[in-house]
Amino acid sequence: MPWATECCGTGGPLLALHGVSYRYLDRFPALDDVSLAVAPGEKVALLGANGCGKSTLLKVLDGLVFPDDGVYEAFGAKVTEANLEDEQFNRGFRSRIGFVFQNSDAQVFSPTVRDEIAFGPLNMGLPREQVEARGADTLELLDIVDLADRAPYQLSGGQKKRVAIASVLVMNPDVLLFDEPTAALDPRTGQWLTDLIVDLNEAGKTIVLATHDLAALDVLADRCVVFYEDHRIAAEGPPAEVLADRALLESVNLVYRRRADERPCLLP
Amino acid sequence: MHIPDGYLSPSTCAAFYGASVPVWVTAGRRVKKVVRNRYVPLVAIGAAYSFLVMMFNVPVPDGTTAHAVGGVLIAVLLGPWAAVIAVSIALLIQALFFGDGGVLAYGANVFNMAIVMPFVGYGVYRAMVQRNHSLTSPRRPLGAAVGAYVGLNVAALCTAIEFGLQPELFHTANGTPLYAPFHLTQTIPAMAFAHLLVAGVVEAALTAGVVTYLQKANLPVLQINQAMTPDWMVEEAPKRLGWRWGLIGLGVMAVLTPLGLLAPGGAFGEDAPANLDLARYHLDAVPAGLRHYAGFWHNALFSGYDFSQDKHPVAGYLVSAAVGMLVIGLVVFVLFKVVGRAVRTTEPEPVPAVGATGGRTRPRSSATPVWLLESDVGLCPCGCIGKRRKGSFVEKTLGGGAGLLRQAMFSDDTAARPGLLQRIDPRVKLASLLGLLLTAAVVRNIEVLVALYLVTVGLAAASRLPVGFFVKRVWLFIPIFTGIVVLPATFSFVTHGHIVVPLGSWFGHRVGLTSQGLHTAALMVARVATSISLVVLLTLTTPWTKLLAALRSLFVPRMFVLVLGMAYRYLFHLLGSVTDMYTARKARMVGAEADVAGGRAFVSASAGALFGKAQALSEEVHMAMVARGYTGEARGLSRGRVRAVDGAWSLACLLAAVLVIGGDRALGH
Repeated sequence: MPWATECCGTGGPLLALHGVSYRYLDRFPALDDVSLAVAPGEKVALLGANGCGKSTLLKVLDGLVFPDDGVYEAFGAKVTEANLEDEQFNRGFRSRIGFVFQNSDAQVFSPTVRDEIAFGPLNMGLPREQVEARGADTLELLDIVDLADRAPYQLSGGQKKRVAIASVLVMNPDVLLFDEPTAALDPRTGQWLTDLIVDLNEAGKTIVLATHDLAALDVLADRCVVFYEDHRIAAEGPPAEVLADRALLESVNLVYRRRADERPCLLP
Repeated sequence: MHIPDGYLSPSTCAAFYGASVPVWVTAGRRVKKVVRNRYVPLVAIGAAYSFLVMMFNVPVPDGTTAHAVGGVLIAVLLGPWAAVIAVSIALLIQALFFGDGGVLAYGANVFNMAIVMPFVGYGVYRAMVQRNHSLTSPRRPLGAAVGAYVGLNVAALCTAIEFGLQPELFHTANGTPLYAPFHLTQTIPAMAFAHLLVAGVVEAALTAGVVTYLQKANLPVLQINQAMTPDWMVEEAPKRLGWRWGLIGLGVMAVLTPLGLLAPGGAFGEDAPANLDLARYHLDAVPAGLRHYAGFWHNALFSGYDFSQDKHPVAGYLVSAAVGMLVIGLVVFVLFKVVGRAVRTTEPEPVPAVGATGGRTRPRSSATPVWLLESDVGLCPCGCIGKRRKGSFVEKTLGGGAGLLRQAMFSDDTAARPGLLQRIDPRVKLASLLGLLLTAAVVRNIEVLVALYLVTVGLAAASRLPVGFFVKRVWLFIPIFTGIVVLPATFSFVTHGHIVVPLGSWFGHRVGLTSQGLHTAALMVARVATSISLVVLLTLTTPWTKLLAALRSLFVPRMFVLVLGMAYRYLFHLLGSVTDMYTARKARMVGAEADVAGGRAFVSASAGALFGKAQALSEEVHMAMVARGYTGEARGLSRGRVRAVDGAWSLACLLAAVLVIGGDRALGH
């Protein structure tokens, strides 16, 4: 394993981006000169208007797309397309980083919930007994034991989200990436998920999430990274500080100045 | 062009499997090398796309239908080797789940549509489009169209030859054909007619349309098979595809049409109720009888199509010629118009604003338009929603799509029931049912086939499948149309022999149903019904994933199984997208819309947009899989373990096969 010698825990950042740029189809920019470091055990929230590059950044962090410029290092090793072709490296990297997609439909593709949850661990090469045991535990943890033999397309949005999270948690990754986790969930499920993310963080998981949920930001994150609409980083700081800076939030087009009272809404 | 089981002798089937296997192996290797892992979902999309294209049956002026395949398009985009895999997979899904094309005849279907067609079409394309032509050159869609046209027609010719050689090679001592009963002189004109005139044009227009769409909307897809293309070629501004090409297409058609008409047709293959071509078959031989005969058949066959008003018994081929030209003109016109519209209406998503917006908020328009705040006039004040109109063909096609979805869910449901076949290990089940299929193919006695068919019904009952549904599923769809196709074979002018049901005399010839013909027809219907029952049994009692795993363990290459799994999934996502797009359009329509042309335009426009949508979706699903460590191996949770029941079942199947073949031989012929 490339990082075996200089493994994490040596005090360095867990994930580090150095001057990363990415363009879709070589034409449409999505990230422009982004540098970012995530320390072990941190909760980092990515903020910004729709289309500013948050989702792309998460995909870069998960090794799904690769920067056009700049370097991405995870757990002390460079993450490149070529490196990930290596089976050892691939397994090590994939089992350490889990990604909960925004669109649960894309993520939940197996014929039954049980198969869905087994998908990751089986790819990791875990023995079947262990896969089944872990799967059962995860089903219980997320309170979806009843859904185990249902087909994902029969589930509600909230249930699909639980299955998607279960399918990632079962691999027991060190880092969890969430793309707008609470979007399109009812308030109760949203609150439950917020609590779950906090619990996972307290259990030692590193969390990186893209969110528009400003109300829950102080719970969800220790640190916020705010993006301009032109895909550059505008600011970094603790949630309270970022939320207090209304000029900043308006400049990145994240909040909307109301006509009547000239007061930014969406703020607590 | 899908050859069902029972039309080709087992030895012919074996020969085509033999020819296809090395091509698959090579294709698997080549695709891995040329198309990187990242593009594997695109191959799957190609397969799903090809499947959908084959679902759109276009009426042929002679009353039959034909369809495009999409093989050349995939060859142009991803290379011919990828096309081999994609079309093979589309054909496999059709054979396994929809009874379209046989399982034993799969090798032959693959040879025609997945091997001959992409390679011939791609060869033509390469001859017309050199690598140094820019990606946006109008030569590309033109070359793709000509390639598609030629490819499809060569594939149709191959099919015709395969059909036509059967009665020469395989018949009983008294000349009764054992398999497909038609002769080369009947098959070639029939296939040529449908494909030269209609299917080829549709294939060409579709291929050119998608290539043109991609030239404007998604160049990188065109670049996949063009690794050598320098960037400056990509940057060149796209030229608009002019009417010129439409006219050229029409001209080509005008030249080719007489060819198709000169050739008397006997429609074949899948959807072809061959009755009509029978009329054509006799046109040349008995010109004097033409008037009466043609009129008789045309009444039956044109009804249901737009041009059915013509009830006069006019010389069949003249009408056909006129209608044919008209239809082609219309098809070409609509498609070229639609290609333009598809390109115009499906511009890529607006790109988020870039540049100067960084440091300041932009002024936003705050005024809500007045009309949005008022209730609209023009809708009926009583709030009624108008009369329900009969579904258009668009609606019917989509209804078919929804039916497909339902059926797939139903299969999942029945596969979960506690029945006999559900208990058998999928690998054992796959192998044993294939064995029984082969057994059914070599049986020559109708009685034995009927017995075997009854056994399948018994198995269905033992597997807790609703027997009524099972019987309907088999008889309603396939063998009845097989019956229609086979019907002409009962007449004395196709199958010569002893006339048992005389239908009078015709200019000195005695005409009627021959005993040999009737026997051939009954034999074929029984064989096809039994074959399809066996396949339906397999698919209704086996969950899709387990079937995939079974294929994998039966030495089907990983690449193949991987693409197969994805293609199946995309198929449903694509169907869902089509339905959504249609519903969204319908929801926005106010008042009665009698605009069928609009509906057609919508379908063609969606075809272009769908490709773009499908690609975006494929990327996302693939990423979600890769994110969880997927590297191309399909792994299932349930472990396959061959148990006693599997052994017993295998033994029973083996015994049944020996009994059936032995009994068949004992009954003799």
